[in-house]
Amino acid sequence: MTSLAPRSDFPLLADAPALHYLDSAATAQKPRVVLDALQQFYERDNANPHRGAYELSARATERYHDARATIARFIGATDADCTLFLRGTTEAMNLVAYGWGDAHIGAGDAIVVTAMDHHASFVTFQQLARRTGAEFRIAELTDDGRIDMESLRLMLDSRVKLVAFPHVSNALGTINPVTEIVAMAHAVGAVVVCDGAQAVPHLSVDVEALGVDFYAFSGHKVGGPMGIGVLWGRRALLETMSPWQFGGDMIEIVGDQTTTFNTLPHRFEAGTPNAADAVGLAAACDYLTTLGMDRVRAHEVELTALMLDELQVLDGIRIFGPMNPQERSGVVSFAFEDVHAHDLATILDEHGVCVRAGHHCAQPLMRRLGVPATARASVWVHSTPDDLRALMTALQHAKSLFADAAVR
Amino acid sequence: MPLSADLPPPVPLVASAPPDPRVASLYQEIILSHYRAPKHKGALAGAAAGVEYQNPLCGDTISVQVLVADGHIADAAFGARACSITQATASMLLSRLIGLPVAEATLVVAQVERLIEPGTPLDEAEAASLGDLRALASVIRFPARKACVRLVTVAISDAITSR
Repeated sequence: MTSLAPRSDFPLLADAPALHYLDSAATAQKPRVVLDALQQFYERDNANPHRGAYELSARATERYHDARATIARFIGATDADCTLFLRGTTEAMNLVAYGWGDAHIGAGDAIVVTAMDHHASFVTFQQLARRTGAEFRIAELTDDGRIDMESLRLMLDSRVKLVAFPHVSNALGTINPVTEIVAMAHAVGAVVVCDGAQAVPHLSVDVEALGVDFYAFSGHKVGGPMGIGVLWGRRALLETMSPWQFGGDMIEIVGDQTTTFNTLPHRFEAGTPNAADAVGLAAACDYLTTLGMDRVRAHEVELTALMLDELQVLDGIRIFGPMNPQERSGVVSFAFEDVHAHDLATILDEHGVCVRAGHHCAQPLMRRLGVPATARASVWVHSTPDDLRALMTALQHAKSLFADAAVR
Repeated sequence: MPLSADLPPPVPLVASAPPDPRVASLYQEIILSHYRAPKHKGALAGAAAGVEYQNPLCGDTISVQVLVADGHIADAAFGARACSITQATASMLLSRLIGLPVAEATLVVAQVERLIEPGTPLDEAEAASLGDLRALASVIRFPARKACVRLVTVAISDAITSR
């Protein structure tokens, strides 16, 4: 088994042959085609979209428009105008909270999240609850890191107006049963917001088949540029939402005292659009489409199975999340009793192995796991068994350094 | 399927580890021994005032209690859910501070903060007075770990001034 994508597709990895980048869940390395697309936009097509009557501006507008169509197609959205460009998942969650939540949620209502929600979702909807006086409910998890569906079922009643959960957990790797949760939430009339940040780079995603009402992801985790992301929403919901930021591009007629607003998607994209990054993100989606998302998934399942097999033999390791690689993404979080995650990450770094150590923007989850932090290794299309072997070597080294540590 | 199935024959893992002078310099025995058997970890008897700090980036927490009598640090203790660098720093620093006049203790804390920053070297006498704490000088090469030391120095400074 080799990598799915050659290392030479990624300039940073090609320039650092000894680097074992196992932190794709934090941000993905960028394929050359993405960097080329960015450069080509700025070198050949750069003008302010939607503004000039001249040909160059028209070309920039067209590139931006085409990028949206490509990205919409990549996530199964037939209505590209419902695919909004924002800065990332965090901003997308905030648009849902301010644009939809403030208008539809009040005292006496309830919001449901899960104990595995990323802070982008958890904190955003916790604060929405505090602003509106709604009750904030947290669905608990099973011991093996899944959403406890019974816990969720019990807290879904007619007061619940919004249900938020991750498609794939960023800290546990758990792939959640989206359609089942959507059915339960819709049965009580709630709107569903799904955080797809850890799903879109790894799984074939079809937002319409999933049945969600809002779906968000970040471009940089898909191999696209930092600073662009997507909120997809149902047209019927988006059209009832008030704009949350005002300015150029999002207006229709500006009177002295009142203004009417542009249609979708522009009403939610105030100011000069981030056209270059949209073009870059579209190139990332095309890159993954060429690799084939089914092959991406198969490659990651195989690597995850290897990683779980190897990690399990380490003395004193706790691996979080489901142990069946078919039920999780290529994200594996673990902790040792005697070696803190930060110490692991520092030692691993000396071996050229990049992993994330920390609370993964999921402090409520860390509390439930009973650890301050975990180490997290994550794979993507360029990862190989060799990367995992380097991880194992480095972990053994860390273990030996801290051996016999009778830590209180 | 074991990882080794696709790979060259396994070699002894530790022996195959690359030379790692930097890591060795960070995880010196003095630091590891304070981590394994920390001094002054626990709670002070009586109701000494305490502070609790969290590193928002990583979630590590430390609490510090300081008992001041007659202008001296009479006793101190810490509690932590934290990495080896944080715990060893707390163990070494409290060991050094107990018994010192408050003004001198504040000076020592400031010296430890200078120790991990480039451009603020200690003179020979200052360095010598720090004892075990000098081992933390290696943190200077691990910028990501400075926060692990500063979590302790900030908590201790605060515990001293807010007592």
